[in-house]
Amino acid sequence: MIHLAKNQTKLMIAVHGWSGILLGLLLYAVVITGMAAVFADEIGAWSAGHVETRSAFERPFGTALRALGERTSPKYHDGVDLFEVGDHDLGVFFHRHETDAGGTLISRGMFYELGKDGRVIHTQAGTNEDVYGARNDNALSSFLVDTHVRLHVPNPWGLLLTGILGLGMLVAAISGLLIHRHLFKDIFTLRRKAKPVLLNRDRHSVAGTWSLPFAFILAFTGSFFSFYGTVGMPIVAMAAFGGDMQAMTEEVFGNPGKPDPRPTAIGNIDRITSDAIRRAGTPPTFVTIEHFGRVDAKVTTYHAPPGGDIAPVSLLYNGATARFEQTKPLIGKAPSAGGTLVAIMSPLHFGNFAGLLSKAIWFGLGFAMCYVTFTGLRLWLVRREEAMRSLDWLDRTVTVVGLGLPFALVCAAAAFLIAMPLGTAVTCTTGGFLIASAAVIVAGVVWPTAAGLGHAVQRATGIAMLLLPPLRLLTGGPGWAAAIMAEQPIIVALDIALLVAGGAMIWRGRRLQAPR
Amino acid sequence: MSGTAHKWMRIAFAGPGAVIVAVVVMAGMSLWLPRGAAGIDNLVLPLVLVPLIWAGLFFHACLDAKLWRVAVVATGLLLVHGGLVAQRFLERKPVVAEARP
Amino acid sequence: MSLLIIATVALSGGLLLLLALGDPKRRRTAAVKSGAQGTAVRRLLVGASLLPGAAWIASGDAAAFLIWFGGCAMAGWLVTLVLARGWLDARQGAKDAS
Repeated sequence: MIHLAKNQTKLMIAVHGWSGILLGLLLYAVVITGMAAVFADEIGAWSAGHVETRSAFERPFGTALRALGERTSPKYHDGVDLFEVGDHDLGVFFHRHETDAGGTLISRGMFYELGKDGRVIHTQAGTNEDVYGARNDNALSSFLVDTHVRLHVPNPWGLLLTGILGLGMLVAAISGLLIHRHLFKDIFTLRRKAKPVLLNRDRHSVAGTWSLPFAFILAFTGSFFSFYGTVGMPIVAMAAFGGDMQAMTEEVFGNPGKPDPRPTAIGNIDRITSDAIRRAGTPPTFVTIEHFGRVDAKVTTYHAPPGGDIAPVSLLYNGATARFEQTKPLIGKAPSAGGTLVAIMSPLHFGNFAGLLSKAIWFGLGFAMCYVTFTGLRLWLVRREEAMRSLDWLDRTVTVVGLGLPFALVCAAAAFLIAMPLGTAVTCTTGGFLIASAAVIVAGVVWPTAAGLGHAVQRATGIAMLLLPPLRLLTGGPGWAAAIMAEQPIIVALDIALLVAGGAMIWRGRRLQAPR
Repeated sequence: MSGTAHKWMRIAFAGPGAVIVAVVVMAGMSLWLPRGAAGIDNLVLPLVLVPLIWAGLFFHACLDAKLWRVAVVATGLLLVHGGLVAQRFLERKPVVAEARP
Repeated sequence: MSLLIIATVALSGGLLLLLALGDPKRRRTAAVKSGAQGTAVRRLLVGASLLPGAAWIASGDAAAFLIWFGGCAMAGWLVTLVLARGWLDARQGAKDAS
């Protein structure tokens, strides 16, 4: 398609191949957990047996909020974050912004969880890391998201690592486009009876071509998310604000209006939420209160985008009078090109702008990208099979990571289901993942052939998937009738998906092994 | 210049060079981009665009047949944006010095 | 609205299936004799398959456009995978022979 000189094509092939083989295994881990994380909310509801469908913001909580305000130290009244936790319970985080020892902006304060009857069921002092981190009932979805966002490496190194992997994917997508001379002529060609090199090349380039625009978008938005907080904002703040991160945050995220620190009771928050639901058409996903207990208090409600849009909506209210002020852009005090661009980064990356339909598409595209990464690694190996016999270790490593990761993730889900009723899900989910990974690594070392190893791991994954729905029921999860009665069909849908996927993997494994 | 030296210079521009220039361009862009309707375009656009700026520099360093052009573009961007940041930094220093009694 | 978006994906997907069936290189590698589409027909099919996307852009529905675009990518890949199994070509080959 794009005709480069021969030496330039050779260089691009080298760039594509080496970036792929050096970063490919880690990138595969990021992409596969990202694919699963598209459905993090649904996986959370399925795994913890959540059957409540009414949003916490559709219940009155104003009285409870005022009571919490009175019992919380005024030093934590700078901001209050309100969000759903557990089975549509309400989390309330009173906090103030400060800089930690390492210079990172954090929030520190008191967190409360309010049950459906408005009573406080959990209290915790800490920072945003503690409050938004893994809990017993969301340990599985939290594990998936954390692996994807930072590969469980502590901040900022984990974010920098995934950012670099995102740039690697960007380079692979662009160099892949530059290498492929007949992009559209080859787009429907998948040879099945061909030499291994051609077979793998077709698989890799067909999947890669069809998913290319999305690979580009996901790599670009993903590296933005990894770099903007760790590197981007501090550097831009240094250049434009002399290093004052708080001033830059205020400029970018702050609300219009003059400060007025005179104390006054917080307005009727229930009136605000019902008005917000009416205006936006959906309950808020997140609510923030700035300057709680002051005349200049502001309440911002964040909602999923209305039909047709992709950027989330945020509504601004006067916190003291509970009156609606304006529809606020996500970033900046007025609508702007820059604000819109930042606002669409999330929906483009997460695919959550149109409910299950957009999530399903993004899940499929994520699967395509896993396939592209995996077949790319295979292609690199197959190209060198004749030249170097000693690459068996790398072949096995690709199988262990490529096929072992899905197996370990399914085992993590099983460990979660067993541990959640016991209250030890946070450690046991990770533990289950690590034990399964160790088992696959050992198999990778001892199995007689690399091909046989692949079949065995696929079969094991299929069996594990088939066992998840009965395990979920055995450990106290709601049955299908209960889930449908509670209007939570996602539990049934995920059970069916696991049974179908598990069955398909076992059937495919048997077909591959059948004598020809 | 020998072929090997050319190769290493290209690797330097495509590798650490592209990273350094991209970061400096990101910092400098915040000082010349228009502020836009909300006064924040100059702050957020560099953050959003930096992966593409880096990719552009990387591929330019790899693919431009003329190495001197790669050097001119990279060095030029570095000096212009680095200069803007340095100038802003120097402007700020006398203000801070005067503020102290 | 979701149904309309799915319908446009199905429409474009169907046209992609036609494009794949008549793809000259695919037919050559699958050893299917004749029946490849001419350039003019292929250009027409490509244009037609892009029409729903253009309509979504014109209507300003960014969400629908993105779902359609992603759906087409998935459909195109799926069509290629299915046709690679050779079922449809075998039937086509029998028709050609008779």
